[in-house]
Amino acid sequence: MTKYLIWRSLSVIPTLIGVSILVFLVTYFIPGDPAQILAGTEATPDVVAGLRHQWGLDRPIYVRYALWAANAARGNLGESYFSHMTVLQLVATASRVTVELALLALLVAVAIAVPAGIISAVRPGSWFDLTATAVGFGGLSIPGFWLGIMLIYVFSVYLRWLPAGGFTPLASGLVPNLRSMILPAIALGTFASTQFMRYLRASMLEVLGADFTRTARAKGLTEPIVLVRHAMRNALIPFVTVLGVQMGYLLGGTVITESVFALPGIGRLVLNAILNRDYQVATGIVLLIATAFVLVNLVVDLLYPVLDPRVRLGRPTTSP
Amino acid sequence: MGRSASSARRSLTRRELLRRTGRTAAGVAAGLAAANAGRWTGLETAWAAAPAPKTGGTLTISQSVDINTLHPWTGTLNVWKVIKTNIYDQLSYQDPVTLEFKPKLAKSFEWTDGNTGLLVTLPAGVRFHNGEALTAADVKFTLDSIRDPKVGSWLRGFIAPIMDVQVLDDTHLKIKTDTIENQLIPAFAYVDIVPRSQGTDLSRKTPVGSGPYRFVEWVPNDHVTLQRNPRYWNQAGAGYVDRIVLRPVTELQTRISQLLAGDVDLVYDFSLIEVPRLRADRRVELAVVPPVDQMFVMYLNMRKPPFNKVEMRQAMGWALDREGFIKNFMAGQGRVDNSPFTPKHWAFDPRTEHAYSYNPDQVGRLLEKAGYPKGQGLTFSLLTPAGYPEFTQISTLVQATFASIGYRPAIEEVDIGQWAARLNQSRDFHAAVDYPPRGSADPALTYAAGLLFPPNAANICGLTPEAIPGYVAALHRGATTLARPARSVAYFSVQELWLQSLPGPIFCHRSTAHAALPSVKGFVPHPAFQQSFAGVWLAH
Repeated sequence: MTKYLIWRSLSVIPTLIGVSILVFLVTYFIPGDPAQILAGTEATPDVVAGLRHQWGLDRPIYVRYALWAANAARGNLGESYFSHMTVLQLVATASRVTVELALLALLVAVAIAVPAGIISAVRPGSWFDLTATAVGFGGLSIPGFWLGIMLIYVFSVYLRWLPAGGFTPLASGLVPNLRSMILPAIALGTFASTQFMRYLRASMLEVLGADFTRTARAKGLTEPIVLVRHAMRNALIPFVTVLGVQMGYLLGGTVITESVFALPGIGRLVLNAILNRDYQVATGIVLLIATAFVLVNLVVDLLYPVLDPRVRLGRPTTSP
Repeated sequence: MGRSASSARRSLTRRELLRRTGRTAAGVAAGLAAANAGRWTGLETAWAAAPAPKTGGTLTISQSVDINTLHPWTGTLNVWKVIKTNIYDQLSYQDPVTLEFKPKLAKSFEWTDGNTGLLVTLPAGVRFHNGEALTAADVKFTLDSIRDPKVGSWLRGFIAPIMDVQVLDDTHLKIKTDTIENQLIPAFAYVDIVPRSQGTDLSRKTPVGSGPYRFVEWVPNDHVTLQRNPRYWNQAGAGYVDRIVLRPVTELQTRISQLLAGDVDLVYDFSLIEVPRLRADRRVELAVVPPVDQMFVMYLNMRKPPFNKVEMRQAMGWALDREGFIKNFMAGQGRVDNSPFTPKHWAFDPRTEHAYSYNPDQVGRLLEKAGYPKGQGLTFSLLTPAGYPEFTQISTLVQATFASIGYRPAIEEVDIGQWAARLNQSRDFHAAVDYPPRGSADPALTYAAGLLFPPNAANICGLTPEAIPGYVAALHRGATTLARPARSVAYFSVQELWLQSLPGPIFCHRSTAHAALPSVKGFVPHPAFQQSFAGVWLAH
């Protein structure tokens, strides 16, 4: 067991080195040059060359990688060529916005999906079920940016209830913060809610037709108790797993929402870094994300032996 | 520019100037609009004419993208130019209405030493935001730093004729050149004066200038905040609003919605296609700056076929339906031109007016003459950057013209970083649209630092002096002669020689559009983005 833990932990190191080389090479081979972008088309060639030298971009690729990797190993992912803020500083600031947006979007999605999914399953074929299904398909078909712009027109321009984009940090108060995040959360959460709703409806229908539900009804339990204590509890178990997976998608899918609502999150940070060829920021963020995935996988792998003794004992987990 | 003339100019306070400017702007615009009916719209509201300015409040401005540096000499984005114009002082400025270059921080400019020295006189008592005194030594430090290639400033070419900068005393310095250099005083409008104590590594430091607003903070992708400088040396030019918050909002519809919802006061520089819609909306006031500065140009790579042949370059001059482009893609807010200048400019050569227009038959004839009958054997592509729809629209119209003859060039849409690298570094392109600025500047600066052809060192097209005999000599005469008539003759010659060889057709000039809430007063838009907000005040 100890041997497995040590071996699995050490295996992360070559993976991370491989990822870092890949990420570094990909950014290196994208055509373009941060020095040219900063200096602009009017700069003389010696000025661009001066900037390239100043930033070390005129060094061989292996030297640049070695320097960057050595710093990264010490937790220093470098700084932006443009803003000169450290990558960790930029990520720390932007991730607050993105994580809050993703969590609120998840909340919106669940708030819509759970009642809609359950009612649709309990009354299959009813007007509510048909309407919810139609709205659900509509929600899946509507592009996020269009929905965002429509929400802004209705709630900001015409009703003037909420701000039309921009971020108010939590430090300025919970209400102003939530006011700035409601529309983006709805725009991002609506798409996820339709998927959740369809999944929960199917899951509930399966559970409602299961033997244990029939047994519960046969025991004389009231329908609400059957629904809440027996059906919902069982249907929500796979649903929670889906929520976890979707949270990852929500975190990764904020780029468009952040652009439409002018939110200073990770999505816009990465996009701008790539467009500006801000190699340090782009590479740093991608590496951080990759590291997070590798570490999560490591934790999961380390938990397997705890959860499944067959892994611990080195036995096959499936029948031949 | 003599001392007496400048002191007479100084007797008019900047505040009065702004008020008068607003009225003049409306008048000039109305006159020009009438003269160019159907071509462009001038400033549509006399914002600056409102009486009794109020102080205080926060002016929130929406810009199209975020800044990418805090360095005053290396950042090239227009959004940064707008911000830093308010933080720093510059020796000169371009009047947004008359388009003339005038002293700003400098009290006067005077050519001396047999026209090999430009004497600059500064006012006494100017202080930077950090409390340090601004002296001639700071101006020398700024100019010398920009001339140093290690600093990496794009402005190096702007002040390239400077041989030496000599400090005479705290308020006088002499700029040594080989001869009169007409590009220098206009170039100084782009040079932000920085305290020498700050050094040259300015991108890591909080900007310290001496302008009417001081820098407070930059939160990337969110906002830049400026605070009024209560001790501004020129009280007549001090700001009215207490704070200016500039927000980068990339989505055009979000920007407009923010204005209509009252979340921002001013949307600075938005797509011209939205002009008709906003003009019809009574909740906002619109300012459309006449098309005088920014021009659409097609760079043609003369280093390789097919544009190493003059007939092919001339064919490109006839290939764009300019009127159709302006009408359909810029809401009519442009002006067809073949010159970097418009008729309002003293250097405009009227003979250029109809040199090239839309004529597919002529394109066909020139293709045949170049050895590509009906486009046979022709291979080229049009390189455009993503996110610049007008570039793609021009490329598509040109593509359609060539397709009607028999060859359909590809349009390569790449991101802006790749586009810039292929134009400036690898030269891996055939033809590419751009919209260089400075059509309203002094021609010496327009040619040295606006268009990317020689004498500009960028020389995107690979133009050699031999390709246009007499061109370089005429440019030199125009740049080093003081008498305006002689300069006109030189620049007329430059424009005509250019049109014969056509290293890059100039298609048209474009307007810029801004919109604000009616409560925003005193806003005079600048055609070249040297935008001051010092005269802006809020009525609510």
